[in-house]
Amino acid sequence: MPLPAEPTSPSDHDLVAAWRSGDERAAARLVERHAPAIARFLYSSGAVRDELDDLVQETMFRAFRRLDSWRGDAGLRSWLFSIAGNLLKDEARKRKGRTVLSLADHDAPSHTGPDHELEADEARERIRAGLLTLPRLQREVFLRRVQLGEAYDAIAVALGTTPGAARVHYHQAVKRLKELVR
Amino acid sequence: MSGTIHEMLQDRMPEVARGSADWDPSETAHLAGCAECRAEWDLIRAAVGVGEGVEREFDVPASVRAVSERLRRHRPLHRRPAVRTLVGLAAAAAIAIVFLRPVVPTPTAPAATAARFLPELDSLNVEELTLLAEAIEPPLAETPLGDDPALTDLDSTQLTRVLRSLEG
Repeated sequence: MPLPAEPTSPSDHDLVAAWRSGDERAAARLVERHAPAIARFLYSSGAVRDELDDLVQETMFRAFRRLDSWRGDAGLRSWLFSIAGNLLKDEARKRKGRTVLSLADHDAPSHTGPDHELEADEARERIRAGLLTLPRLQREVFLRRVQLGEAYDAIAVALGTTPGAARVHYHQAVKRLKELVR
Repeated sequence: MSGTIHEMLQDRMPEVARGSADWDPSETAHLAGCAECRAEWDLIRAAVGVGEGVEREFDVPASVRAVSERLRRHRPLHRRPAVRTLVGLAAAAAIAIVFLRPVVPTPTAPAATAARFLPELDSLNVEELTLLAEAIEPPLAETPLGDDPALTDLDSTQLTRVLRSLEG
Protein backbone atom coordinates (compact mmCIF):
# COMPACT_ATOMS: atom_id res chain seq x y z
CA MET A 1 0.00 0.00 0.00
CA PRO A 2 1.51 3.32 -0.98
CA LEU A 3 2.33 5.63 1.83
CA PRO A 4 0.21 8.76 2.04
CA ALA A 5 1.96 11.76 0.63
CA GLU A 6 3.61 13.87 3.29
CA PRO A 7 1.90 17.20 3.64
CA THR A 8 4.12 19.89 2.23
CA SER A 9 4.93 22.79 4.51
CA PRO A 10 3.47 26.10 3.43
CA SER A 11 6.01 28.32 1.73
CA ASP A 12 7.15 31.59 3.23
CA HIS A 13 4.97 33.37 0.65
CA ASP A 14 1.94 31.38 1.80
CA LEU A 15 2.60 32.10 5.46
CA VAL A 16 3.12 35.80 4.81
CA ALA A 17 -0.12 35.93 2.83
CA ALA A 18 -1.91 34.17 5.69
CA TRP A 19 -0.47 36.64 8.20
CA ARG A 20 -1.60 39.57 6.04
CA SER A 21 -5.08 38.08 6.08
CA GLY A 22 -5.09 38.01 9.85
CA ASP A 23 -3.86 34.47 10.63
CA GLU A 24 -1.80 34.81 13.81
CA ARG A 25 -0.67 31.17 13.62
CA ALA A 26 1.19 32.03 10.44
CA ALA A 27 3.36 34.42 12.42
CA ALA A 28 4.21 31.67 14.89
CA ARG A 29 5.24 29.34 12.08
CA LEU A 30 7.46 31.97 10.53
CA VAL A 31 9.19 32.56 13.84
CA GLU A 32 9.71 28.80 14.31
CA ARG A 33 11.16 28.52 10.84
CA HIS A 34 13.58 31.44 10.86
CA ALA A 35 14.42 32.45 14.44
CA PRO A 36 17.23 29.89 15.01
CA ALA A 37 19.04 30.88 11.81
CA ILE A 38 18.70 34.57 12.70
CA ALA A 39 20.17 33.84 16.13
CA ARG A 40 23.10 32.10 14.49
CA PHE A 41 23.63 34.97 12.04
CA LEU A 42 23.53 37.54 14.86
CA TYR A 43 25.92 35.51 16.98
CA SER A 44 28.31 35.08 14.08
CA SER A 45 28.11 38.83 13.49
CA GLY A 46 29.20 39.57 17.04
CA ALA A 47 26.04 39.66 19.13
CA VAL A 48 26.47 38.69 22.77
CA ARG A 49 24.93 35.31 23.48
CA ASP A 50 22.82 36.56 26.39
CA GLU A 51 21.18 39.14 24.17
CA LEU A 52 20.27 36.83 21.31
CA ASP A 53 16.72 36.15 22.48
CA ASP A 54 15.90 39.86 22.63
CA LEU A 55 17.62 40.61 19.34
CA VAL A 56 15.86 37.81 17.50
CA GLN A 57 12.48 38.85 18.91
CA GLU A 58 13.08 42.47 17.93
CA THR A 59 14.15 41.37 14.44
CA MET A 60 11.00 39.34 13.94
CA PHE A 61 8.79 42.07 15.39
CA ARG A 62 10.30 44.68 13.08
CA ALA A 63 9.87 42.31 10.17
CA PHE A 64 6.17 41.76 10.84
CA ARG A 65 5.59 45.47 11.16
CA ARG A 66 7.22 46.01 7.76
CA LEU A 67 6.02 42.91 5.96
CA ASP A 68 4.20 45.06 3.42
CA SER A 69 7.60 46.18 2.16
CA TRP A 70 8.80 42.63 1.49
CA ARG A 71 8.31 42.31 -2.24
CA GLY A 72 9.02 38.59 -2.32
CA ASP A 73 11.74 38.82 -4.92
CA ALA A 74 14.43 38.18 -2.31
CA GLY A 75 14.05 35.19 -0.02
CA LEU A 76 12.36 35.96 3.29
CA ARG A 77 15.33 34.72 5.29
CA SER A 78 17.64 36.98 3.32
CA TRP A 79 15.34 39.92 4.09
CA LEU A 80 15.27 38.94 7.76
CA PHE A 81 19.08 38.82 7.81
CA SER A 82 19.09 42.40 6.51
CA ILE A 83 16.80 43.53 9.32
CA ALA A 84 18.94 41.66 11.86
CA GLY A 85 22.13 43.20 10.49
CA ASN A 86 20.68 46.71 10.70
CA LEU A 87 19.44 46.05 14.23
CA LEU A 88 22.90 44.94 15.29
CA LYS A 89 24.36 48.06 13.73
CA ASP A 90 21.88 50.20 15.69
CA GLU A 91 22.80 48.39 18.90
CA ALA A 92 26.51 48.82 18.26
CA ARG A 93 25.98 52.52 17.67
CA LYS A 94 24.18 52.80 21.01
CA ARG A 95 27.09 51.10 22.73
CA LYS A 96 29.80 53.18 21.12
CA GLY A 97 33.14 52.23 22.56
CA ARG A 98 31.83 49.31 24.59
CA THR A 99 32.88 45.82 23.64
CA VAL A 100 30.23 43.79 21.90
CA LEU A 101 31.99 40.44 22.02
CA SER A 102 32.79 39.02 25.41
CA LEU A 103 35.94 36.93 25.60
CA ALA A 104 34.01 34.41 27.67
CA ASP A 105 31.14 34.33 25.22
CA HIS A 106 31.63 31.38 22.95
CA ASP A 107 29.61 28.78 21.23
CA ALA A 108 31.45 25.63 22.21
CA PRO A 109 30.15 23.89 25.31
CA SER A 110 32.85 22.72 27.63
CA HIS A 111 33.43 19.07 27.03
CA THR A 112 36.08 16.42 27.28
CA GLY A 113 35.55 15.01 23.80
CA PRO A 114 38.18 13.96 21.34
CA ASP A 115 40.98 16.38 20.59
CA HIS A 116 39.89 16.89 16.99
CA GLU A 117 36.49 18.15 18.17
CA LEU A 118 38.24 20.55 20.53
CA GLU A 119 40.43 21.76 17.69
CA ALA A 120 37.36 22.24 15.49
CA ASP A 121 35.63 24.25 18.23
CA GLU A 122 38.72 26.41 18.68
CA ALA A 123 38.96 26.97 14.94
CA ARG A 124 35.34 28.12 14.85
CA GLU A 125 35.94 30.53 17.71
CA ARG A 126 39.00 31.97 15.98
CA ILE A 127 36.97 32.45 12.84
CA ARG A 128 34.19 34.16 14.77
CA ALA A 129 36.72 36.47 16.39
CA GLY A 130 38.18 37.13 12.96
CA LEU A 131 34.76 37.91 11.50
CA LEU A 132 34.36 40.69 14.03
CA THR A 133 37.47 42.42 12.73
CA LEU A 134 36.09 42.57 9.18
CA PRO A 135 34.25 45.58 7.78
CA ARG A 136 30.52 45.02 8.08
CA LEU A 137 29.93 44.55 4.35
CA GLN A 138 32.67 41.93 4.01
CA ARG A 139 31.38 40.08 7.06
CA GLU A 140 27.79 40.06 5.84
CA VAL A 141 28.73 38.94 2.35
CA PHE A 142 30.84 36.15 3.82
CA LEU A 143 28.13 34.98 6.23
CA ARG A 144 25.44 35.11 3.56
CA ARG A 145 27.58 32.95 1.27
CA VAL A 146 28.60 30.50 3.93
CA GLN A 147 25.58 30.31 6.27
CA LEU A 148 22.73 31.11 3.93
CA GLY A 149 24.25 29.76 0.72
CA GLU A 150 23.15 32.87 -1.12
CA ALA A 151 24.37 33.50 -4.65
CA TYR A 152 26.21 36.72 -5.38
CA ASP A 153 23.22 38.12 -7.31
CA ALA A 154 20.93 37.76 -4.30
CA ILE A 155 23.58 39.10 -1.93
CA ALA A 156 24.00 42.13 -4.16
CA VAL A 157 20.27 42.88 -4.04
CA ALA A 158 20.09 42.37 -0.29
CA LEU A 159 23.07 44.59 0.50
CA GLY A 160 22.63 47.22 -2.20
CA THR A 161 25.76 46.39 -4.13
CA THR A 162 26.64 44.61 -7.38
CA PRO A 163 27.32 40.89 -7.86
CA GLY A 164 30.89 41.65 -8.89
CA ALA A 165 31.49 43.76 -5.80
CA ALA A 166 29.91 41.07 -3.62
CA ARG A 167 32.34 38.52 -5.07
CA VAL A 168 35.27 40.82 -4.30
CA HIS A 169 34.06 41.39 -0.74
CA TYR A 170 33.77 37.64 -0.25
CA HIS A 171 37.29 36.93 -1.42
CA GLN A 172 38.68 39.81 0.64
CA ALA A 173 36.97 38.31 3.68
CA VAL A 174 38.38 34.87 2.93
CA LYS A 175 41.88 36.22 2.47
CA ARG A 176 41.74 38.19 5.71
CA LEU A 177 40.31 35.28 7.71
CA LYS A 178 42.97 32.91 6.35
CA GLU A 179 45.65 35.27 7.70
CA LEU A 180 43.95 35.61 11.08
CA VAL A 181 43.30 31.95 11.76
CA ARG A 182 46.61 30.58 10.45
CA MET B 1 47.50 25.48 -11.19
CA SER B 2 44.43 26.11 -13.40
CA GLY B 3 42.93 29.54 -12.75
CA THR B 4 39.51 28.33 -13.89
CA ILE B 5 39.26 25.31 -11.61
CA HIS B 6 40.74 27.35 -8.74
CA GLU B 7 37.99 29.95 -9.03
CA MET B 8 35.33 27.31 -9.55
CA LEU B 9 36.41 25.55 -6.38
CA GLN B 10 36.39 28.78 -4.39
CA ASP B 11 32.89 29.58 -5.62
CA ARG B 12 31.58 26.11 -4.79
CA MET B 13 33.22 25.69 -1.39
CA PRO B 14 30.30 27.12 0.62
CA GLU B 15 27.69 24.83 -0.94
CA VAL B 16 29.91 21.74 -0.67
CA ALA B 17 30.77 22.61 2.95
CA ARG B 18 27.05 23.00 3.73
CA GLY B 19 26.33 19.60 2.19
CA SER B 20 24.32 20.93 -0.75
CA ALA B 21 26.77 19.63 -3.34
CA ASP B 22 29.78 17.33 -3.74
CA TRP B 23 33.19 17.68 -5.34
CA ASP B 24 33.58 16.03 -8.70
CA PRO B 25 36.71 13.93 -9.35
CA SER B 26 38.65 16.78 -11.00
CA GLU B 27 37.93 19.08 -8.08
CA THR B 28 38.92 16.41 -5.58
CA ALA B 29 42.19 15.90 -7.45
CA HIS B 30 42.90 19.64 -7.51
CA LEU B 31 42.26 19.96 -3.78
CA ALA B 32 44.68 17.13 -3.10
CA GLY B 33 47.42 18.97 -4.95
CA CYS B 34 46.73 22.63 -4.12
CA ALA B 35 47.80 23.82 -0.65
CA GLU B 36 46.16 27.22 -1.10
CA CYS B 37 42.79 25.69 -1.98
CA ARG B 38 43.10 23.21 0.90
CA ALA B 39 43.73 26.06 3.34
CA GLU B 40 40.68 27.88 2.06
CA TRP B 41 38.61 24.69 2.13
CA ASP B 42 39.58 24.14 5.80
CA LEU B 43 38.56 27.72 6.58
CA ILE B 44 35.18 27.46 4.85
CA ARG B 45 34.39 24.10 6.48
CA ALA B 46 35.11 25.58 9.89
CA ALA B 47 33.20 28.79 9.09
CA VAL B 48 30.09 26.80 8.18
CA GLY B 49 30.15 25.51 11.76
CA VAL B 50 30.27 28.94 13.44
CA GLY B 51 27.18 29.39 15.55
CA GLU B 52 25.77 25.89 14.97
CA GLY B 53 25.40 25.34 18.70
CA VAL B 54 23.52 28.61 19.07
CA GLU B 55 21.12 27.61 16.33
CA ARG B 56 20.64 24.12 17.72
CA GLU B 57 19.98 25.29 21.28
CA PHE B 58 17.87 28.33 20.51
CA ASP B 59 14.66 28.48 22.57
CA VAL B 60 12.14 28.60 19.75
CA PRO B 61 8.92 28.24 21.81
CA ALA B 62 9.91 31.16 24.03
CA SER B 63 10.58 33.27 20.97
CA VAL B 64 7.27 32.34 19.40
CA ARG B 65 5.41 33.27 22.58
CA ALA B 66 7.21 36.59 22.99
CA VAL B 67 6.81 37.67 19.37
CA SER B 68 3.16 36.56 19.18
CA GLU B 69 2.30 38.43 22.35
CA ARG B 70 4.03 41.57 21.17
CA LEU B 71 2.30 41.41 17.79
CA ARG B 72 -1.07 41.00 19.45
CA ARG B 73 -0.50 44.07 21.59
CA HIS B 74 0.63 46.18 18.68
CA ARG B 75 -1.55 44.93 15.88
CA PRO B 76 -2.96 48.01 14.09
CA LEU B 77 -6.76 48.29 14.34
CA HIS B 78 -7.18 48.34 10.59
CA ARG B 79 -5.60 44.86 10.35
CA ARG B 80 -8.14 43.23 12.65
CA PRO B 81 -10.52 41.25 10.44
CA ALA B 82 -13.65 42.17 12.40
CA VAL B 83 -12.86 45.87 12.24
CA ARG B 84 -12.08 45.68 8.52
CA THR B 85 -15.49 44.10 7.89
CA LEU B 86 -17.30 46.71 9.96
CA VAL B 87 -15.44 49.58 8.27
CA GLY B 88 -16.46 48.16 4.90
CA LEU B 89 -20.09 47.93 6.00
CA ALA B 90 -19.95 51.46 7.37
CA ALA B 91 -18.58 52.81 4.11
CA ALA B 92 -21.29 50.98 2.15
CA ALA B 93 -23.96 52.31 4.51
CA ALA B 94 -22.65 55.85 4.17
CA ILE B 95 -22.81 55.69 0.38
CA ALA B 96 -26.30 54.23 0.48
CA ILE B 97 -27.57 56.89 2.88
CA VAL B 98 -26.06 59.84 0.97
CA PHE B 99 -27.18 58.83 -2.48
CA LEU B 100 -30.33 56.83 -1.97
CA ARG B 101 -32.26 58.68 0.74
CA PRO B 102 -35.29 60.55 -0.58
CA VAL B 103 -35.25 64.37 -0.98
CA VAL B 104 -38.28 64.69 1.35
CA PRO B 105 -36.94 64.53 4.85
CA THR B 106 -37.86 61.55 6.94
CA PRO B 107 -37.90 61.42 10.68
CA THR B 108 -35.20 58.77 10.63
CA ALA B 109 -31.93 60.17 11.97
CA PRO B 110 -28.78 59.32 9.98
CA ALA B 111 -27.17 57.81 12.99
CA ALA B 112 -30.15 55.54 13.61
CA THR B 113 -30.21 54.58 9.92
CA ALA B 114 -26.56 53.68 10.14
CA ALA B 115 -27.27 51.70 13.26
CA ARG B 116 -29.78 49.52 11.35
CA PHE B 117 -26.92 48.48 9.05
CA LEU B 118 -24.49 47.99 11.92
CA PRO B 119 -26.09 46.00 14.72
CA GLU B 120 -22.61 45.07 16.02
CA LEU B 121 -21.80 48.60 17.11
CA ASP B 122 -22.54 47.71 20.72
CA SER B 123 -19.76 45.15 20.68
CA LEU B 124 -17.03 47.63 19.67
CA ASN B 125 -14.72 49.33 22.12
CA VAL B 126 -13.96 53.07 22.10
CA GLU B 127 -10.91 52.78 19.83
CA GLU B 128 -12.80 50.68 17.31
CA LEU B 129 -15.77 53.06 17.30
CA THR B 130 -13.41 55.97 16.70
CA LEU B 131 -11.89 54.22 13.71
CA LEU B 132 -15.36 53.47 12.41
CA ALA B 133 -16.45 57.07 12.76
CA GLU B 134 -13.40 58.24 10.84
CA ALA B 135 -14.31 55.88 8.00
CA ILE B 136 -17.80 57.36 7.68
CA GLU B 137 -17.99 60.12 5.12
CA PRO B 138 -18.44 63.67 6.43
CA PRO B 139 -21.93 64.13 4.94
CA LEU B 140 -23.19 61.42 7.28
CA ALA B 141 -21.15 62.35 10.29
CA GLU B 142 -21.66 66.10 10.12
CA THR B 143 -25.08 66.70 8.56
CA PRO B 144 -27.38 67.90 11.33
CA LEU B 145 -30.74 66.23 11.72
CA GLY B 146 -33.38 67.69 9.55
CA ASP B 147 -31.06 69.43 7.02
CA ASP B 148 -31.63 68.55 3.45
CA PRO B 149 -29.26 69.40 0.69
CA ALA B 150 -30.82 71.80 -1.82
CA LEU B 151 -31.17 70.33 -5.29
CA THR B 152 -28.69 72.94 -6.50
CA ASP B 153 -26.11 71.40 -4.10
CA LEU B 154 -26.28 67.99 -5.75
CA ASP B 155 -24.00 66.98 -8.59
CA SER B 156 -25.28 65.29 -11.78
CA THR B 157 -24.84 61.75 -10.42
CA GLN B 158 -26.78 62.55 -7.29
CA LEU B 159 -29.49 64.33 -9.29
CA THR B 160 -29.85 61.28 -11.51
CA ARG B 161 -30.35 59.08 -8.47
CA VAL B 162 -32.95 61.48 -7.06
CA LEU B 163 -34.81 61.43 -10.34
CA ARG B 164 -34.77 57.63 -10.45
CA SER B 165 -36.08 57.39 -6.91
CA LEU B 166 -38.92 59.76 -7.76
CA GLU B 167 -39.74 58.13 -11.03
CA GLY B 168 -39.50 54.61 -9.70
